[in-house]
Amino acid sequence: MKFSAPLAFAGIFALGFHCVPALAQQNLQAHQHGRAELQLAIAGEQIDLLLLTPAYNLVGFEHPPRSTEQHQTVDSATAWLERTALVNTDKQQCAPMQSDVQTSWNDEHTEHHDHGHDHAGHSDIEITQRLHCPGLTDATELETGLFGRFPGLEQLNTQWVGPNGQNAARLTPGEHRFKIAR
Amino acid sequence: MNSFRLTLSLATASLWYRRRVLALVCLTLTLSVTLLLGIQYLRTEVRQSFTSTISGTDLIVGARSGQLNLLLYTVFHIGDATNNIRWSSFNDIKDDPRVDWAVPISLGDSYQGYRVVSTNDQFLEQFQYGDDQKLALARGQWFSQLFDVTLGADVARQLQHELGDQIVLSHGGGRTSFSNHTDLPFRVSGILETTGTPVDQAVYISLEAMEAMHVGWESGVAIPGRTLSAQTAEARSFTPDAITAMLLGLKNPIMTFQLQRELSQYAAEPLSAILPGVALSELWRMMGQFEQALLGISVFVVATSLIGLVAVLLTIQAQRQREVAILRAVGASPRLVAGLYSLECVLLALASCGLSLLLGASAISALSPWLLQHYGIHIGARSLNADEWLLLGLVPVVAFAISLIPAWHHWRKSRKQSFGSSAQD
Repeated sequence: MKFSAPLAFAGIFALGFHCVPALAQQNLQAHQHGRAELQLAIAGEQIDLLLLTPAYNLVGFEHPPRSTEQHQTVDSATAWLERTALVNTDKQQCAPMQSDVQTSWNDEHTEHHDHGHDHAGHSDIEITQRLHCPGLTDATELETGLFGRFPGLEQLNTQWVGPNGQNAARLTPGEHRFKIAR
Repeated sequence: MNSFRLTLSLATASLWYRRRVLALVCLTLTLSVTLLLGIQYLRTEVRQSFTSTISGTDLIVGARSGQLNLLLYTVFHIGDATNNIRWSSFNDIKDDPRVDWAVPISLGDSYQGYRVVSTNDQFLEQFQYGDDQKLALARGQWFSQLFDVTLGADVARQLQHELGDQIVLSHGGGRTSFSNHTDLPFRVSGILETTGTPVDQAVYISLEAMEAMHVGWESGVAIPGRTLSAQTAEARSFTPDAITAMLLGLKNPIMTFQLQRELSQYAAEPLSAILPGVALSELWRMMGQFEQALLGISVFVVATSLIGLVAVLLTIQAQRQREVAILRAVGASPRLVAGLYSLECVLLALASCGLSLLLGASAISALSPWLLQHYGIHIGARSLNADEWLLLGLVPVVAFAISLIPAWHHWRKSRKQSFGSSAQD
C-alpha cells in the first residue's frame, strides 16, 4: 500500500494508533477551541484511545511555554495525562499501561531543530493511551474525568469501535458518561 | 385492609353506575395514552430500523467529502458523490493485509427513479443489515451474465417485475430521464428479499455492465455507431476506471481508526473513510430533535385528557351529593369518601392503560405488514422496554395526583356535612 505515513511508527502500538507526526505534516486537522476528538478501540479488557485536542483546551495557550508558570502548567497537565486513564468504568477499573503525550510545538522543535521562528499558528495535543480494564466486559458505561481536570474543554466528540459495533456520543461537562453496551 | 376492600367495591359500583359518561372519558384517555405509548414505541423502533440500515461494514471509503454526505449517497441513495475514486486505489486498499473484504460500488444511472448500483458478487456476500443479517434472494439468482440485473424487493413489487423481464436503464438519475440505454436491455435474473432498508429501493448490475453500457456515451448521449451491441459487448472484457465508493470489512475491527487515519492521508488521491455506525449516530442526532418534539406533543395530549377527566369528575360531583350524604349517614368517614374519588380515578386510568396496550398491540400487528410493504419500515411487535413501562406507569400516578383535587374538595365538603359522629373527625 502506498500510504505516506511512515510505517516505522507502527511499532509504537501494535494495535491502536500511531503515525502521530505524519498528521501534523499533511492534511490540517480541524481546530476549534473548546472541542476535542476522542477515539476508542475496545477489545476484551483493553482500550486503545486517542485524544486530539487544541492545546488551548488543556493548558490555556497555544504557543510553546515561555514563563516558568506556563512550563509548570504544561508539566502538570502532561503528568496528569500520562498517569490518568482518560476513560474509565464507573468502578474505576482502568489503568494506563502505555501513555504518550505529543504536542505540536514539540514536533516542530525536534523535527526542524528550531530555526528560531516562533510557532505562530494553532497547536494541538495528541494523547494515545492503552488501558487495561479488568471487568470491562461487564461494564455498560464509560466515563471521562477530562472535564473535571480541564475546565477549558467544553465538548468531547467521542467515537468508539467495540464488540457491539461502532457508535458515537457527544460528551459535555454535564454528560460525561456514555453507554458502550447496546 | 377491610376498609380498602370496601372502598374498592364502592368505587367499582360507582364507576359502573356512571359507566356511560365515564366510558367516554375512558376512551379519550385510552386514545391519548395509546398515542403517547405509540410514539415512544415507534421512535425506538424507527431508530432501531434506521441504525440497522448497515452493519458489519467497518469503513466506507469514497472521494473526500463530509461523513454524512458519503453515508447518504452510499447507503441511503440520497444525494450524489462529489468525485469518483480510481480503480487502482480500490485494488490497492483491497490488498491491504488488514482488509478482510472490499465491495466496490458505482452509482450514476437509474431505473424508473430507482438508483442503479453497480457492484460485484461480494455485495451479496458481505453486505449486512440489522443484527448482522445477510442479503438473500427471494427468487432467481444474483446477476451472473453481463446484462443481468437483480432487483431490490420494493422495485420488483412497485413495478411488478418478474424473473426474465427485459428492462431498460436510464442514463443519469431521475424518473424522467430522456436518454435511455435502449440498445442494451437487461434481463431480471433475481429479486432480493425484503430487508426494510434502502437496499430494497435499488437495482443491482455488475461493474462490467456499467462500463459496457457507457461505451460510446462519452459526450453524454449515445453516439450512433460507437455504442456496443449486446453481442459485441459480451465478447469484450471490461475493467472500470473508477468507482464511486467502497465498503470495507476488516479482519480486526480494532484497526478501524488506524486504517481510517491512513486512508485520509492516502497519497494517490484524496479519500475519506467513515465509520458507518458513527455517521449513523450523527445523522440520528440531527433527526432526533424531531421525535423529541413528537413525544412532547403526545405528553400534552395525555395531560389534556387527564384534565378532561378531572373536569368530568368535578361535574359528576354535583350529582353525587345525595349519594355522599347517604354514605356519610351510614357511617362512612370523610376520608373514605375522598378515597373513593381517588380510587375511581386511578381505576379509570388503569383501565385506559390496559385498553391502550391492547389497542396498541393490535394496531401494530395489523399495520406492520402494510408499513413494510409500502414504506419499507420494519416494525415488529415486542414487549415494552423500561422507558415505556415507566411512561405507562406514570399515567395512573398522575391520575392519582390530579384526583386529589376533587377528593380534597369532597373531603372538606363532607366534613362540613355534620352527622354527629363526623364532628370528631
